[in-house]
Amino acid sequence: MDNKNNVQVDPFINWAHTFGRIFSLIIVVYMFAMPTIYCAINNCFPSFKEVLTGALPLVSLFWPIAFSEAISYPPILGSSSYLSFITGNVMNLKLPCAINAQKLTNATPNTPEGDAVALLANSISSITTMAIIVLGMFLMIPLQPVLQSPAVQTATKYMLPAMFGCLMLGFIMTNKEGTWIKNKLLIPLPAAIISLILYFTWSRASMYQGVIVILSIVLCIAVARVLWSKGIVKVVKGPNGDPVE
Amino acid sequence: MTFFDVANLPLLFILIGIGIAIVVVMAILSAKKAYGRLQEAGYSKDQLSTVIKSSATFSVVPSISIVVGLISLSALIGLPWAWWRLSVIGAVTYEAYAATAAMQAMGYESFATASANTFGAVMYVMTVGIIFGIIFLIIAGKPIMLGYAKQGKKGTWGTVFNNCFMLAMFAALIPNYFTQNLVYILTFFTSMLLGLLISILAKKTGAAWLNQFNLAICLILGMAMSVVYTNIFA
Repeated sequence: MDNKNNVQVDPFINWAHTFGRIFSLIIVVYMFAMPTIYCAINNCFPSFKEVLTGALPLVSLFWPIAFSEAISYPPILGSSSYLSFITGNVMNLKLPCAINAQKLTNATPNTPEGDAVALLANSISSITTMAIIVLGMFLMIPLQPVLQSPAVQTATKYMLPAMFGCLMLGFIMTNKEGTWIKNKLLIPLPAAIISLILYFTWSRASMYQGVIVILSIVLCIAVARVLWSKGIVKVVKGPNGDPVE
Repeated sequence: MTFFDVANLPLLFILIGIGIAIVVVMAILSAKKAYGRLQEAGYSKDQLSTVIKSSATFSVVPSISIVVGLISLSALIGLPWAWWRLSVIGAVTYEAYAATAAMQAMGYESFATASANTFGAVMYVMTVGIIFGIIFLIIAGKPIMLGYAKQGKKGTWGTVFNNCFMLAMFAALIPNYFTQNLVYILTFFTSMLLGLLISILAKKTGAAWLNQFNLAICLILGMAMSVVYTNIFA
């Protein structure tokens, strides 16, 4: 039993959180230990004031973004959030990877199975990325002309729309073989319109996507609750949309 | 000693190699445990193999884009630290900005003329600036996620609730592409159309394996088409 929530927690979820927290702590300690060891050996310690002067603008800009991401991505990433945040590139790699794996297996996010699928997918993704970066380091000189060519630079710029176009399709198309949600696409409509207005009117909106995601989650849950209670959005099963109690 | 005298020493490669190895161990143990949990839940080996293959193939292209970032970042701060920063909590847009902020705080305008101590400052400043998300998760991640999960168990409302997060994600992220330029929009719809064609092809021909590479194919062809669109419309 989990004392705080007074509900039975899946043993895998408990394990994943404990494991994730321990390894995250090890990494955090190592992230600070490494420069300390290195500076001590090479006698290149900066002063505290210099670190503070350099870090303050970053903290004021990036910590709120990190906070909003740490609140908004875990419902989909589940306990793979620890590994995903450690290995980075959450929005452009870990999140799409988890969404894709959950769609392939029909696993629902925010459930133990959805959580395990996301963890498996993002573990594989993290290993792949780290291996390719190592490979890239060894092949950097021969690959440099290709990777820095105008065509590759342009293609890299458009990676996210190329990724999310395909992912979005999975949500427009409804698989009616099992249970499905009728009128599901009404839920994100108001949030999408507000996001669109924000992106048009607020020049720094792209930088604060994590905040927009939080607002969108709150709005989607509120809209879903209203539509569900009115019977407009409902869980049904089969091609005929038979009601599910 | 200058910035680049200390930025590329073998010792730093060794220290970073140890750090990367810790993360790899974490990923391997996580994958093993998740695999076992999914087998217990009744997922077939084929389904799990699909997840593994699809995740690996999909990750190749974004990883190559990280290597592109590695090339530019290593020119700024040396290869080993760029390797570490892009392997652990990194994103190239943040890293270049953070490194420059640290250098300027030390009173320099170029890494080429900066001191060895500047490299020390770069290492600390980049770490401090990026660390918050993971510290927050260590402290608050479990209660937050269990809170979400508790709501998700409430009958049909729970099913609707669990779907809200993904829908909210799309509602928050996708409108951004419509405010950029025409190439963003065309690339988005090209990828969507390709995904649809591949799904139809997989269904009609019975080649279900195509679905596991759907996202990777859409990503590569979508990005390739963005180059074509740029040449036409830019």
